[in-house]
Amino acid sequence: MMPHTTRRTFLAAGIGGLGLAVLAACAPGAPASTTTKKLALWIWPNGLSTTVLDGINGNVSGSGVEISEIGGDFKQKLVATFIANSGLPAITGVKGEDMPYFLSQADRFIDLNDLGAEDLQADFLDWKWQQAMTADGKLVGLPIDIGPTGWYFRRDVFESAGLPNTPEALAEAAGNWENLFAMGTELKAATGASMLLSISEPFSKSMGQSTTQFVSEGGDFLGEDGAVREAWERSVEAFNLGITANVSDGSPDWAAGVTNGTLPSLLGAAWYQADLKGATDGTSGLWGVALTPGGSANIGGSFLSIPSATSAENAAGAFEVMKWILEPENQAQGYADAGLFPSTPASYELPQLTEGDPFFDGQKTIEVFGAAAQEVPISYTSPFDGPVSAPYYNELTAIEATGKDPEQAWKDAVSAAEDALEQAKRG
Amino acid sequence: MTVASAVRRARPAGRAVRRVWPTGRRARKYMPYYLAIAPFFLLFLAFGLFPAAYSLVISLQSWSGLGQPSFVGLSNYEQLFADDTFWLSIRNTLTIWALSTFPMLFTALVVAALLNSAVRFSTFYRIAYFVPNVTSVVAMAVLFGSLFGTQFGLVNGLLSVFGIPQVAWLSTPWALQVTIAVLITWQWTGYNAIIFLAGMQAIPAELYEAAKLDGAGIVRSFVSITLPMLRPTILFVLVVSTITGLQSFTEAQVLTASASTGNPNSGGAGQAGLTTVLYFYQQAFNFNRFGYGAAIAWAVFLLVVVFVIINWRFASERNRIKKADR
Repeated sequence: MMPHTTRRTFLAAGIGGLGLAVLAACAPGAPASTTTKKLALWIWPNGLSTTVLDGINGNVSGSGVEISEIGGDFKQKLVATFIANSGLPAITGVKGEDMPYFLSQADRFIDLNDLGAEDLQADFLDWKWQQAMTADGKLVGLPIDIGPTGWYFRRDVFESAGLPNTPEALAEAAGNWENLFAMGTELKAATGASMLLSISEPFSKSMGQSTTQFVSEGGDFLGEDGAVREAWERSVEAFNLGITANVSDGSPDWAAGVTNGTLPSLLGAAWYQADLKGATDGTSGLWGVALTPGGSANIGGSFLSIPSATSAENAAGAFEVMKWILEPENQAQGYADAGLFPSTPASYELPQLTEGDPFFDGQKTIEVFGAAAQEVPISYTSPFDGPVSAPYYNELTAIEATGKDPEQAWKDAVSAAEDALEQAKRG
Repeated sequence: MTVASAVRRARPAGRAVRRVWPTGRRARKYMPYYLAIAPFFLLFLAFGLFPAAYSLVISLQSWSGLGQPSFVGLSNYEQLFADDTFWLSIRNTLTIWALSTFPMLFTALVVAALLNSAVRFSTFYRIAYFVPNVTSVVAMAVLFGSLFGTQFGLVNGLLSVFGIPQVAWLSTPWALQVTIAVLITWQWTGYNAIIFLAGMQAIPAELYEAAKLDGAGIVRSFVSITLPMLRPTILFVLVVSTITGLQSFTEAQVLTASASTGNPNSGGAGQAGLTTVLYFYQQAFNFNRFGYGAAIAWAVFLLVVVFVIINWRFASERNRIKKADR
């Protein structure tokens, strides 16, 4: 009988152990919420400055904060936790591109105006503030960072093409798209280099400069004319002029282009400089940054929100924590630590931002990005903008990749976008 | 006490009851075995079967993920039939599947035959061929993105040696599909070669010896002995490759990711890299159309079933003909 008993004991132990492991895996947040009363804060890696996060417990009174860095698809994990309706954090980050979606589910969040957010509004950029507000004035997030765009350029390549090559001269010479295209033609003729990344670039940046997007606040389709048509024509013109490189952002060919000077001009958000610095070896000091031709736009930038499952007492504490994290000094620290461009203009005066950058030949880039941040237009982005805008990008790519006739592409894009809106509304 | 439970109590413990849930000594005897296999089935129930079944319910709903789902009947499926992009994604998937599976099976067979012959360090080669399969697909896709770069990619560098002009691998629709197929082939050839090898080693050596005595060469033995004896293995590999091939996702997603900023998971140039599962992912997780996404997922399931049945029929038909010949 001996072997039988031991085998069974072994089995029982094994199954018991497995059961425990499953239980443990199912309840990751449980110990924290039962043994301590710390507020849980969810953020993705590099979403906030670690220096600032480390300082919360010493600077904000209360029970303290437990920080969880959540990697992978942050939005999806947050949505899954909302559906489970348990284990929700007291404070969570919300990425800018996901905000229109969460705004359509605003009852999942606490109205921050009830906690006194209105008093802070003057400290933040208005257009960014509006992005987290529902039509009926409910505020679901405080802005963490923004992504004002600039025009990155290679001083050396522009000089050899006989173009102006200082930020001031460029801003003057190319205040609009027409001038940019004219300079692009000159650049192409003189050096063979491309002024723009791809056919989609003028389109996405023009839409960023616009006060309307693809769907109106009332849910109407706006993709047939107006800003969308204008942006489309601009893109096709750039492509026909031959001043687009037809390269994918971040690809090996892109990295080669920005390093060897065949791609000496890029339109990108303030955080884009980290990509450039990472991909270009030995070009430090050759770059400059100027205001975006045709006006400033914003790409990206996130928010902090309080899920409505948070108790009133915890919500008040959570709001104090958020307020402190987003103070101008701490936002400046976030810029120094993680490249998070502050959403509070007061930060732009602080030393972390006013320093000259050797990569840009000592230029104080805040003079460009700070000005750009103030200029970004207020515009409404529908939760259906993703599916409705996709056909335009697909068709522009088709012109670039397969030589599709631009007018046919436009017709196909409009009809596909209309269908997409119809379908998206139905769900 | 309800009537039903009274009846149950009144009924004597008959054979039928015991067969369903053994009691007494039999139960004690088999319980450890049931317990031993239980963890898998419990986990499978919770994380495999239930979600799969529930996705069928979701596919009949309109649901944005957080809001209240509403029942819409078959309208997601009706939409699917009229959706050009869906059919495009099916064409892409089938093209990539064909471009990857047939070269892969052929190469795997050749590799297995080579490994099966008496080469030195064969264990080393077996491991080496298997390594791509256990390497992260994402890491490999990033590497392939570099290899297939237009201006400085190694592949174009190699082509230029033979005087072949540059190909924009990642921004031309057909070339993008070839690139994805090459990546899948690279990843699965070694895996399938190992399975073929196991099949080959099960073939009795006497057959080869007899063939040798009859004067058959290596090629003749391969065609007349190895291939026929390997038929069940080939069928297995073909079915498994079909199932994985029709669900290809990561390769396409990572290779087209950089082209998709602002337009996530759209499939790159001419949407040629938009596989059906990638389309499902975009609709559900980027565009928050979970009902529609679930409908796409079930369409993929149907497609896989149809293809597996075709494979099966095709293979067993030929088996029957072979037997009838004898």
